[in-house]
Amino acid sequence: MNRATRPGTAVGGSPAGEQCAADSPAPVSTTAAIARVATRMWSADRCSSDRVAAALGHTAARWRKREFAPRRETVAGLASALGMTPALLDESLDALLEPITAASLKLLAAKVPVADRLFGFLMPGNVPGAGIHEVCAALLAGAGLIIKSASIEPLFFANFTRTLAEVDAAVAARVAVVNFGRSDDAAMRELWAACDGGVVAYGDDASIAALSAAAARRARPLAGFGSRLSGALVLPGASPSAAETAADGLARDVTLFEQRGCLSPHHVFVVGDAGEARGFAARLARALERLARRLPTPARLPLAAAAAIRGLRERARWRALAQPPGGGRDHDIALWEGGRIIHSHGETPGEWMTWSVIYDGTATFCASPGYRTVFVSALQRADELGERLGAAVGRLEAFALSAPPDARVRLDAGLRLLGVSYVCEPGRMQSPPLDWPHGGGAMLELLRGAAR
Amino acid sequence: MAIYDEVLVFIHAPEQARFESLALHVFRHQFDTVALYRQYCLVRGARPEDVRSLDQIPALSTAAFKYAELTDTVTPSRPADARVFMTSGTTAGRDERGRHRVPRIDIYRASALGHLRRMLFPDGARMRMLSLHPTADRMPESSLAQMISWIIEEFGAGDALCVADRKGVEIVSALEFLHSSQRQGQPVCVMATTAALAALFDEVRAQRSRFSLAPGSRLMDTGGAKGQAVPLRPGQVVEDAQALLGLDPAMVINEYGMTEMCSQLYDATPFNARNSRRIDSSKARPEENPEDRRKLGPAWLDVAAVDPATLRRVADGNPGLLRFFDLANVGSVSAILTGDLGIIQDGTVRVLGRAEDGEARGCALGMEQFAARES
Repeated sequence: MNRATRPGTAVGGSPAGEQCAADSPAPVSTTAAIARVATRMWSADRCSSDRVAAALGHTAARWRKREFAPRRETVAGLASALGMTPALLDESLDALLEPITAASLKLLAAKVPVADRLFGFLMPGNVPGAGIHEVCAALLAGAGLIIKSASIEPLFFANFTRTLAEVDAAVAARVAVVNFGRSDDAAMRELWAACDGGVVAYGDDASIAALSAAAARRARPLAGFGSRLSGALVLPGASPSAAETAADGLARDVTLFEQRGCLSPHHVFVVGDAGEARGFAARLARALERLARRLPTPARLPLAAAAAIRGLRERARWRALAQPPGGGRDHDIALWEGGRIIHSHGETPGEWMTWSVIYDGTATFCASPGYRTVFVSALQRADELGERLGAAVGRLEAFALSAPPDARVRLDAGLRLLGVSYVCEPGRMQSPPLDWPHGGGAMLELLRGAAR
Repeated sequence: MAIYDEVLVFIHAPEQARFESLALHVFRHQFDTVALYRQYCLVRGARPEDVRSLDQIPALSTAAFKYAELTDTVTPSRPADARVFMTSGTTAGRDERGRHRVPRIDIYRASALGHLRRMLFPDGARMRMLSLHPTADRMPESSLAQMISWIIEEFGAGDALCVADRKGVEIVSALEFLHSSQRQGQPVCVMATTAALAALFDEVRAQRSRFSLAPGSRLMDTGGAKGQAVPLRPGQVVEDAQALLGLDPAMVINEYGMTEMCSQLYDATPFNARNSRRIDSSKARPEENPEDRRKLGPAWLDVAAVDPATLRRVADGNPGLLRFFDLANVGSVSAILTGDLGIIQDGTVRVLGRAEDGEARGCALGMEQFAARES
């Protein structure tokens, strides 16, 4: 059993610190472990931001290599824990780690205030490594970090921090990774008490609301990253190759992390007539199929997600099959399905789901159940996007934008006015820059508050 | 014998050994007579000559009934024999009502009453009837309304009262009827959607009242959490019916049915398990805990849980999407894939609930929250 998966104890951090807790033959209570982490971090020397940037940069550089042993072990463990395939995880982690370079870390260091406080991080379990942007910012600010990894995904931060300790033990001494259930009230109380800088949390809106109430009771600040949706806006280029490039890029954005994170696109709006939008949906379907051959889907989909995808597929299938001659606005629908009907001699026919593209010409923004399920709709004009966002208004995170250069600046600005925090080319959605104002820049605000 | 009559004979005198061959015959008939279903089967590569078992018959999603006319358009039928039923639901904010045309209403009647007799009236009793859902004269497009009217005709004796119409439910009238039944010491059968029942319970509580209905009284609720702001758990229905109406928990029986299907399933309880020929009590033991209740369908209904991804039957005890083959649907499509999750164990069904919502997840909007915002 990987040491990092042992629940209920401090499990990561510097070699001199929390690994002792994990390796100790006597059981260590989570509360005591957190208290000890906090004490050690207060006594640890603060490193310069240049030193932190260099250490994080070196660590990320090691982790960008797929053959790096800790990364290989992490990918294997994540594949087992999350059900994602190793090939998909490798490609996803490549995208996540790409922006974390010594140079970009130095640039970020110049933007963050000094915040010599202790911060708690409650990490999500759906996307391994999510939260690394905020972790980097806090370390560069000189903060100490107690990272509570998710029960389902206790590996990434624990193992990444171990590499950091090998690169620079003094920098790693400011981080500890613990693993306990959110229902462990004593541990949560200790975490709140220890983290005078505040808590950074990732979760669904209900969890973030509950944590906000807890933060208010304890007079501790909270940077909560709740539920968010991402999408894409495509203006078909002058050439088919531009559309093909956009489709390839969006297929990658949909596929990475099995579409489980806030940066994964759910709905693609294509500016043009129904024919153009349908054509783009078909291109996207082909691109998803190509990618599925290289980055296989999980061997088994979670029941709820599979059932939700099945429901969406069947509704789309029957709306399409029942189209009256000539169609009509409400019948402008088509379905592309990845997977195949399995006929094996003597057995019941079965099929497999790999990806789904649902073209629904006039739909408002639809949330996808994930696992490579994406909606495509047509927009007559780009400025109609706001009206078509529906319930996604105020909950947007990222948008991929494929547009000719002359329209790009205007559309980028328009998307940001709609609340989008990250606008990028298709294919770049899972690699936001280090200074990405995730959730509207909540982390920077937290650090500024702590610096006062 | 025409296929419709073969099915009717089976419903009246089921022979389990004949089920699969009759199902395959019904499938061939539906392939030939329901154009869009044939199209769907061909897309799935399923021709009648290649289909050798029940599991190979392509199941049609209940969603299909929202968009397509899925009925026998070949076999001549008299208009007076046919009915069209509509679902009440909406999906994702669209006003899309499912439509199920039943060419032979007598088959629906035989199916509905045949299984009801075993599950809700196994004692052969006839009694006063109280419906908190409109009857067929008030809501002819509702299959539940039709069923309630038949129940009143077949099992009613003495007074019968329907306190619901399209506008709502008159709870006060329902309470008066219950008071009168109690005063006269006459058993009563209450039929209601779970939502209407919740309203009835709320009013009884508000009046600080409590009934002690005559022995033999019973309750059939249906619909589950649909339409309720604060849904009643299945166990809560049983508890409240016992505490507020004085009903024996074994006489509180939840129905699982849908417009798209002419057969229904009911909770197995000590009341109906004891009396039903169909239930092998060694296999389908009625659970004491109402939350763990299992349901039983009639002999002319096959039920399976399937993996939503592969559509293959999952092993007993594992959750999956519920799939039915309902012989009584002979005039439309019998193989139905629902949007409900459930577990099959020894031929009984534990319904886990709707499967439409994706799981909520951190840093990404969960389908559930999204849907809540949309509604």
